[in-house]
Amino acid sequence: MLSLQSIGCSRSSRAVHEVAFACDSDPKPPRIGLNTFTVVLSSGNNQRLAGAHISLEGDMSHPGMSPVFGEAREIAPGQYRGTLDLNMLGDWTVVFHITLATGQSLDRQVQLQHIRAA
Amino acid sequence: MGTQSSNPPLLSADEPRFDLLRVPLIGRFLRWPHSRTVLQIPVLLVAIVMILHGLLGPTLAPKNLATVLAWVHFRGVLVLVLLCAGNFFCLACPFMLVRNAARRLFRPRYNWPRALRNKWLSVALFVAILFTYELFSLWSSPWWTASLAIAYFLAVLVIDGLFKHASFCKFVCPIGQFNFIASTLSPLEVQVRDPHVCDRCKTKDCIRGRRAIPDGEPLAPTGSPAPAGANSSAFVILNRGCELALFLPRKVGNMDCTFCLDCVHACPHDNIGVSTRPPAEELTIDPIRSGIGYFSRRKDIAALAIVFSFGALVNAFGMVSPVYAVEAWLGRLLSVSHEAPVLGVIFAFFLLIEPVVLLGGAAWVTRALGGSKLRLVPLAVRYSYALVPLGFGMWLAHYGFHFFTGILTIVPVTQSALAGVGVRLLGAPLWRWTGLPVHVVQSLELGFLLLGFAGSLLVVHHLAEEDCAPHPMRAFIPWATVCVFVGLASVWLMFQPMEMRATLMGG
Repeated sequence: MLSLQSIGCSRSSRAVHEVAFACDSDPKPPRIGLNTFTVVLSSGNNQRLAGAHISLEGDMSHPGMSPVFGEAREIAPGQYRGTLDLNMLGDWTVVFHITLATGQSLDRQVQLQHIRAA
Repeated sequence: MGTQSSNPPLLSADEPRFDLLRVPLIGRFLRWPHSRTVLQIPVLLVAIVMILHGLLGPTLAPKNLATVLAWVHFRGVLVLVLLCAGNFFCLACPFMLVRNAARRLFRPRYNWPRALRNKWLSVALFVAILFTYELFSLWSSPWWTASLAIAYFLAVLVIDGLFKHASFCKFVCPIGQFNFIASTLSPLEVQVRDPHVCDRCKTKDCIRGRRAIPDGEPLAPTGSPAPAGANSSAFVILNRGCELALFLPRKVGNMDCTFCLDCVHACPHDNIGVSTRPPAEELTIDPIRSGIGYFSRRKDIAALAIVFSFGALVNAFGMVSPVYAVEAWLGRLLSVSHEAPVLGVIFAFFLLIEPVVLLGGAAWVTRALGGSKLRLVPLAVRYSYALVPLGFGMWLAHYGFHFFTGILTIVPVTQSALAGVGVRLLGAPLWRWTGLPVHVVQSLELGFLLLGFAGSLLVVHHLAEEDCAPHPMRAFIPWATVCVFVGLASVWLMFQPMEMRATLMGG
């Protein structure tokens, strides 16, 4: 799986920092309109992390613009899929708000540059 | 040369005018000597919160108070208040509150260098801020936004800590210059109520201020200079006179006026008001102005007007789709991958080449048609002020767009910031709160652009009538053509697909 440019994470424990995050999009690269994001979560020892809850949030680089939201569902153990309607040209940051089955939460951000029309 | 207007003012001095200082409660508050401080304190607190959140809060611009307040709300409110009232931001300027506090500890010793007593430095800084804004994508970086605010506070402290009077406001502050030139279109102006009262005034406290000898000593004669041999620092300033060297009886228009109301508080005759006047009228006349001189002889102020007008275009251009194609093309042409030289070329085109071609061409045609006997440069300087309404229309359209479409985003961002310090307000942040729909705001944008276009045409027409009374069209047509060109460019830009980028060249 080819990962999009993932940056940063936030909140929490060592266990959370050891969560591996990989993300792919369809279409690739993402474009204006509905985009599907597939996320794979795995632990430090390469085991898929099932039972997590992931909500998606897309923000533009400019403040004051409307964010977009979506929910991902688990399509296979440790693999999650959700859609976002990227409704404006430009640079987006997609934030994945993740709550693991253990109750621990973490965020992962993906930068999407130069989102173009389809 | 129209150094003195032959056309009568649109509103005579004898006609009754609305005077904000005579409005119950508001007028009384503004006449209160501490009103400015009361207005500055909340703005300073907001600035401190912005800086802290910018440095320590979320790195995502739409979720940070620094970027949301600076680039959505502050800019939007600023231009709307300038349009509807006047330069009230300078009145509530938080930088001056910090400066005044610092001046209790350090008295400035120097006069601002004579060579810099003009707008060239501030025009260069204005361009630098516009350039930096694009190069570092300031709108997308809370850290850079907070750093800019800190740099501003430091610059004020250093400059006004060293130099007397309001050197920073008059000669340095880029925001102030933006406000000064935009407020030439504002409906309110700090004005003398009755010129005859000023004629009889012996003390001129509005410019000199009022001082006293401290600790029970009798007051020095109002407005009189310190006695010979006396240390002037031994006197307590009761009221400052105008720190920007605007002598009210000779003051014309809003240029260089910070609305600080020092003159109002200093005037012993209660003869200064904040009253209505026809917006843009001061751009159609050219009397000698206190603290400024003749507009027609001030190439630096004309340059400010040009940067203000064409800078509005370049600032908006950075936010629309075609900029990518232009940048990529320039990058290939110059064989560079870094953004700075490419942006430099774009800025040179918008702020230098385009104005020179348009204004120079119009001046040449005006002379060729016999519309004026002025030489090219004075003619271009004279008419450059006519573009200010067009530029202001573009600033209003651009900043108004972000303000109206994002006005409610301050609610969830504030909720989120408070949650970060443990205060839960109204539940989870309401991230879906944004503002007016884009299609509604677009009609407002068009209205602003048309308003600016009409204003520029009116100013051009007024100047043309004055320059070439028998055949005003000889001067009007070339300059109206420039207005049409800039106006069409503005409309084209405004209706391009917006592209909210963080970087231009992926760097």
